[in-house]
Amino acid sequence: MTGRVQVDPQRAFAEIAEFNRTLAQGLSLLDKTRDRDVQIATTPKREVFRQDKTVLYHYEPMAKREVKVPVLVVYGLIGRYTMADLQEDRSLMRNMLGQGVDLYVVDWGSPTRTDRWLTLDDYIDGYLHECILHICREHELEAIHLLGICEGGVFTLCYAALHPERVKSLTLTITPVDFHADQNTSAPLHHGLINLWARSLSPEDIDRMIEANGNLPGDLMSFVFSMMTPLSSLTKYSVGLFDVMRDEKKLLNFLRMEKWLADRPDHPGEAAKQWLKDLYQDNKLVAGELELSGRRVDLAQVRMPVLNIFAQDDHIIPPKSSQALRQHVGTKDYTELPLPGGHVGVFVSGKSQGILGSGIVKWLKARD
Amino acid sequence: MNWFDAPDGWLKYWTENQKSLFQALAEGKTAASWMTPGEAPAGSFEDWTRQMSEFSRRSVESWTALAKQGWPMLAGSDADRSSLQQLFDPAVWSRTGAGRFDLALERLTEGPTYATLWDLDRKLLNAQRLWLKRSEDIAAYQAIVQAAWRRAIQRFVDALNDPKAPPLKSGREFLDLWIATANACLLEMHRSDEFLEAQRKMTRSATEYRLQEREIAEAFCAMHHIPTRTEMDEVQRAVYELRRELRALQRKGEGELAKPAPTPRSGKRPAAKAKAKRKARRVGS
Repeated sequence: MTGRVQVDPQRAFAEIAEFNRTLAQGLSLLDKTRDRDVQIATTPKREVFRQDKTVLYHYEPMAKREVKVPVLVVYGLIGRYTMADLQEDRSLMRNMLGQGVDLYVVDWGSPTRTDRWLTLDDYIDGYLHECILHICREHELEAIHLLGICEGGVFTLCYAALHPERVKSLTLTITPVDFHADQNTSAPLHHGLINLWARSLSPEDIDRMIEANGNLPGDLMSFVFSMMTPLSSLTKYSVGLFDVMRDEKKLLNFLRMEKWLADRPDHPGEAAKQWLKDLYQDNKLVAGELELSGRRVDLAQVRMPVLNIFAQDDHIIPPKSSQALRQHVGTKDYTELPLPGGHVGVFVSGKSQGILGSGIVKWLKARD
Repeated sequence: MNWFDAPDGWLKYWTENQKSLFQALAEGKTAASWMTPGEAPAGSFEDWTRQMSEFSRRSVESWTALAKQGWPMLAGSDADRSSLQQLFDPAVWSRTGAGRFDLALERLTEGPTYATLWDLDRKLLNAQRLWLKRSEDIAAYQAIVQAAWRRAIQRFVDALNDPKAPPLKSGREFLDLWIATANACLLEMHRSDEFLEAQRKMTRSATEYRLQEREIAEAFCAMHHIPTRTEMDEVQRAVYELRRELRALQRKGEGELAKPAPTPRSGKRPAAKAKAKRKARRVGS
């Protein structure tokens, strides 16, 4: 076809033979693999509080307490907290428990159409507030440490602005703050595509979509995410799976990630309208115009210590969107921790495991 | 009789009449002159009947012409044999934007609404119209996606023929080059205004169709005493609002309990103190 393709016949033969071997071994491994081998979120924990579908879990301690004040981990409604506890050797939860942190996590459950009327106000000023009050009562404390992830980071940030007296410190990971920071940058093509997609819709499009579906379907969000990495999404079960199928450890990692991805809940409708219209479209958080429970969310009220962790190659939340926080919070104790990798990679890649958990614990100890 | 011939006959009939009408106007005859019967014929009864019959015929013609002028969509209608055949040809239905079929649906759905007539039919027709709109938007979206794939193939071929690029020494390198090239092309497309607008339109028309589908389902539910989606949403909203109010009341109650009890300065209760003050003022006046 062309002079550029210079495949040596002997090498081609070897490549085909290797392909066949990988396929045979991989298929045999896949055949042996059972669902029980692909468990996620296995770190022991117990339910301590429940309101509607929201459940608060308390993790079993794994080491002597080194951080006195408990930490509450808050994930968002797009995806599930289990991403931070994907497998034993790649778990932020285990990492922090192993370093003496008293750890709680909120599980928002699986919203159905009956939850379509729930707003961000209900999640932040209602359920999250109740969970925090419960922990404060249990430990006879005025305030606790909060750790927010992605949309959960926005929840904790808003909460800290509305109830600063209840937040001892705030750790944000891969959290969008300035929802328009993706514009006018020289970032790679796949960065910030969600921002672009959300802005391409009219407010009425969003309202009608929620009216038709009740909620923002998890499947739709999965589709939007897959648009950001089109070819790897299309070749995931051919090239992607083939690349890992011979190595049991890698194969199980792949399958655990698939399990997490498949478990994408629907986002309650009214909350989704706020998320897409107030934040992605109108960027109200940094403009100081976001209102929850009739109160304005003023980021200048965030006066507790803040640790802001972002992924340097985050295509979902562009780093600039997270870094914008610095200029809006009222605290002088503000730290940034950039980590290598992408949005999910920060939590699940081998490279970031040591840095993420120990970075957070070290920072917390200094402010406990 | 082949009834498909009838429309041809009708068309000829209307065309001839139109011609006569315009001819009449061109000759300076006012509508009134040919719409008003002349003086009563002086001839026999047969003559009078013939004249009345002629007058009726011309009146019908003129009103028809006026109706055509006032209702242009009727004038544009080409309900001839081929259009009728197309209406019943499934091959035409499957095409997106089925042209005359769309137009017919539009006429039916956008025509006057009657309070008690054809309500369900109208819903079904509207769903059909929205389905076609959805199909059109999907086709437009797919055309943009296909164009991106064609660009990807072209770029891949160009990359393969690039004399300055390093050689590809394995099948895997070949595959990786294709994946990288196609990925870049698709990402460029995903960021383009053209794609985003097509995707927005497709999402919206799919949404509108879904909502119309719900309207039909709800009409069926209402007929058969089954609660509708809208009613369920209303009930859930009421439950949600009650829960919210309950939480607010609980929080308020907890707040009241947490407040320290008021400690009056004197031993007297505040109400008794105010009463004594009022009494002293009355005595003073």
